[in-house]
Amino acid sequence: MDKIEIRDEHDVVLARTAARDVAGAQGFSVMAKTRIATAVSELARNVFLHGDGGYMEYEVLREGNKIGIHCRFVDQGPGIPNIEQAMQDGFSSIATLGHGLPGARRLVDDFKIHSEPGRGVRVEIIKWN
Amino acid sequence: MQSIPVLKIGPVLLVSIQTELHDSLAVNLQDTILYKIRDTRARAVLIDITAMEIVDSFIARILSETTQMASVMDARVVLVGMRPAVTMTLVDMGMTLPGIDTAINIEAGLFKLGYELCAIRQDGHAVREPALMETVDGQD
Repeated sequence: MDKIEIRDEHDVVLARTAARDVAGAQGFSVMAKTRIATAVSELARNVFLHGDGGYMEYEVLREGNKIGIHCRFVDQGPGIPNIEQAMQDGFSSIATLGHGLPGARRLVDDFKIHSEPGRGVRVEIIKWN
Repeated sequence: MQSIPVLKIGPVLLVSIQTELHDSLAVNLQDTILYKIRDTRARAVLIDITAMEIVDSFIARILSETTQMASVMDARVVLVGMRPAVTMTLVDMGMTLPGIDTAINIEAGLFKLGYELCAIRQDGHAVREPALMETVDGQD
């Protein structure tokens, strides 16, 4: 898996540009490419805003004729105390609009989130073309 | 520091975003637009996002806020050139940008604001209707 460290807002741009470029190189449709890159942007921002930094790992998946992109976001922050609440539209702990996590989930085909209090958050997404 | 140029064309400010918009650049742009509205007494702002392949919830929120703030300063914002894939992605995420005025491109945006791009005749008078440009085609 390729890895991108996420420490600041510039790394958010790096992460979403990488997702866009990989999707483009794998022949993703413009729609699928835009969705995965936007989801990556949301999740990478969460890593540095809420998670005190961390990293994204990504790889290309092949299943029969299907091509997908798998991304994993890992931070070392305080974790999310209430995941169900965080996944609700409009919920935000720091006055963003609260579209980040629930928005990203709607843009991808598979979304898993795991949080351990005090040890950080791990989010895994898969987008098939 | 990187910045995005804000051009003044009569009473309209034209902002064409041609670069990757990281978060603080977006926030700076918001400031720049509001100060320019005050300094130039602009009545309208056209924000061209034709070149933007990704508009996430943060950028969408900044654009939406800028529109509201400009409106408080009596300037109207028209967002132009949003790509279809960007539109669909924002709607998927549940961001419908309420209150934002849009147009398909800069020319349509100016038209919406009441300004027409007129071709100027050789004698210096404006032609009322935009001149039909003949397509230059090397094949013929």
